[in-house]
Amino acid sequence: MRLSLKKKARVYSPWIFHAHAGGCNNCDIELAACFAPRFDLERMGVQLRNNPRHADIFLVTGPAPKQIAPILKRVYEQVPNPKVVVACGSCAMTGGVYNRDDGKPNYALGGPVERLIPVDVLIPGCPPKPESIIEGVLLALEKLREKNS
Amino acid sequence: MVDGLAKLTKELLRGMLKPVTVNYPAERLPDEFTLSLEEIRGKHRFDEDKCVGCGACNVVCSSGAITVSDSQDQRVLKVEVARCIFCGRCRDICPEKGLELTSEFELSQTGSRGGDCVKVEQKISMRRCEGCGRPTFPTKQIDSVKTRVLDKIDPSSKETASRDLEVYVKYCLDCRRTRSYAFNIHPRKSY
Repeated sequence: MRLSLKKKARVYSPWIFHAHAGGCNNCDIELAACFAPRFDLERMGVQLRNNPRHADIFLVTGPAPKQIAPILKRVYEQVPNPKVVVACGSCAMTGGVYNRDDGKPNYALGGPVERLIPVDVLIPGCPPKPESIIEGVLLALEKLREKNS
Repeated sequence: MVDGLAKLTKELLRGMLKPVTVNYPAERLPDEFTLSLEEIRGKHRFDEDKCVGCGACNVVCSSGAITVSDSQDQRVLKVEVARCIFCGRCRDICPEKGLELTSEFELSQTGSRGGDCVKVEQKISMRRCEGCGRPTFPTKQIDSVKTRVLDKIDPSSKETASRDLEVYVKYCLDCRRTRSYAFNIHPRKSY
């Protein structure tokens, strides 16, 4: 597999945009722990950016309530192609605790994220441990490599 | 406070000597910074022998991740790991200690739907009602309830109870109610 220099650079230093779509904030705290010195995700070349236009990996946490749903879609469209979407945490994957027990839809739930935007990598856990998130981001890197080639 | 300061100083000195960063996929976090492997709550595992399929885990589940579905001759307990919040209440409530949370917490995977995520399943054979042929309860659950009732019941009424139970467990709830006089198991016979 031969990649051009630009693609190679993109694969070896992907930047993450973290979208907080509702939820309880615990996944976000674990993500902060990922970028803290103990785990230091930046040694993989990953950097946390606050601008979707700079990002390669779009990491979503939270169940995406109806109020956030249109904004999440719009921010997703702002991320340049090729992009990888990571659904982090039980809420982002299936709605988690925000689902109702009786199977009826929750009136406030616009998600899960898969209903709004295409998802590539899933990270279960409530919240996922920093190790899980790192593992998920590594899977996302592989996915990004596939999409670039 | 002095204790905390000592800890902080120790940590500061250690940070000066060598980097604190853990090279994660290659090495694990040192034990003093994380829960031990027994304490970590990860993917579920049913014990094939111990689980009786009573469904207590389904009732107590916080996020509705555990579902029970009965078919004609087997009951399937399914844990959707994607919805689970790993609170451990199912493990705590289990009367037979047949469900445990393993230390396997690295469950990330590629996939486009939350439903694709790993599921843990347990299948238990059901007993049929001898009256109407519908499935009643799992065979193992009936056995365990029988032994537990006979263990704890007052010794004076043990003989009657065991005789009643033999009839009782063969039928479903509806058949028991409609035919209780015919079977001579109606509770009113005792008074």
